[in-house]
Amino acid sequence: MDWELLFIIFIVAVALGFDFINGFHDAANSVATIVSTRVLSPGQAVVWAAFFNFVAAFGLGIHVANTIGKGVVETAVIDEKVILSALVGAITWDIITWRFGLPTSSSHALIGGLVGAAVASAGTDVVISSGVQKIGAFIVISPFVGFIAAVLLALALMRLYARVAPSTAQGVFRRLQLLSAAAYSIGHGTNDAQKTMGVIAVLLFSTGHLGNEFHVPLWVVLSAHAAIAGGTLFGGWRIVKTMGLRITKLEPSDGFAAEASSAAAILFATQVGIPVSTTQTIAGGIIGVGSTKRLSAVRWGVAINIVVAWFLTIPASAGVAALTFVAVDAF
Amino acid sequence: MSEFRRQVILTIVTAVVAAAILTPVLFAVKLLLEAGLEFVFAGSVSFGLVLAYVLRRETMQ
Repeated sequence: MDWELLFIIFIVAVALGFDFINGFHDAANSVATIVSTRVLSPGQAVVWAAFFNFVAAFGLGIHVANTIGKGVVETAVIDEKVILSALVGAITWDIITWRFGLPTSSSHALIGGLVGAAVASAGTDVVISSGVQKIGAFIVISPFVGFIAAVLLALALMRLYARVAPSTAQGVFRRLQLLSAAAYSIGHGTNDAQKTMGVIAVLLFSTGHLGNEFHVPLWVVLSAHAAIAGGTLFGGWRIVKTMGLRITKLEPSDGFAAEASSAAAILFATQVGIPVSTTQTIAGGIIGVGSTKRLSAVRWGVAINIVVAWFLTIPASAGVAALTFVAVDAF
Repeated sequence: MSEFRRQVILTIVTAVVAAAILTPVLFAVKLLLEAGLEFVFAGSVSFGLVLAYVLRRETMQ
């Protein structure tokens, strides 16, 4: 076995490690509302989310993987060093934000890393501006769509349940939250695992291991979903607390509205091939349901910290990736 | 009507209401996206802010 192939296998392992950390870091959001409303215990919720993260491997397409693979930077400039630097940039930023309990986006960290490493390798001309603009716009659009959908749904549910006994409503939403959490986990699994798939596939394609046409092999699909589900199983409890408890106090009906709205928004984005932050989308949903009670019910200080971290993610991960590329390239 | 049956009916009605709310929202986003990125950006941000403003007024009373 030659050294180049060994290096590629090592980078694929790092990419799957990133996916695992993504599960650890982001997938906690899938269970935040269901745990904070006490529908499931933390252990049960994490198993529930991990199962549906993996199930998402089947039947939801690979549009996001194609966008990451072909729509962010020119494939011609991608090589082992660019991908490794991109992953190091993204992982470093993820670990820093996890350490401080900030639910930032692993997805945008990966995209920032890819752009930073590619620019360090071949200059700014290799960036596909239309792709990056679309992803950048959805940094803002996806939480707003989550917010709008959650507000409308929460208001409709308030009206529907105005004359229903609280104990009956509680029973209904405890069941429905199981479904909404599953839907959110499927959305999270498919959108986020596809980002790793895109990175692995473009690495294999650019190094001539994928033939003449860009595609995502089945083993890449299955291993990416297994990695994110594994990460979810180990969970990031620190971030669960931020999302589920610190933004606003949640009732089971609120959890259902936030999760169902976010799941719908993420699955929509997945179908049109846009990599979105699942973290941002559910944060928008949670803020939306909190706002229907009172705007002051939302703890805006926490929400603003999260927004600041969102906007730092792409530049910070791009910077780390660019520095990593310079260091790796020197060898 | 038994409590269980009431909960089952409410579960179905709630799922239908959720679909009836979320489908048009996503359809609107799709139409705006097809019109152009600037339309979906401006549309979602401005509608979100208007909604937040209305909620602020309503929940202050």
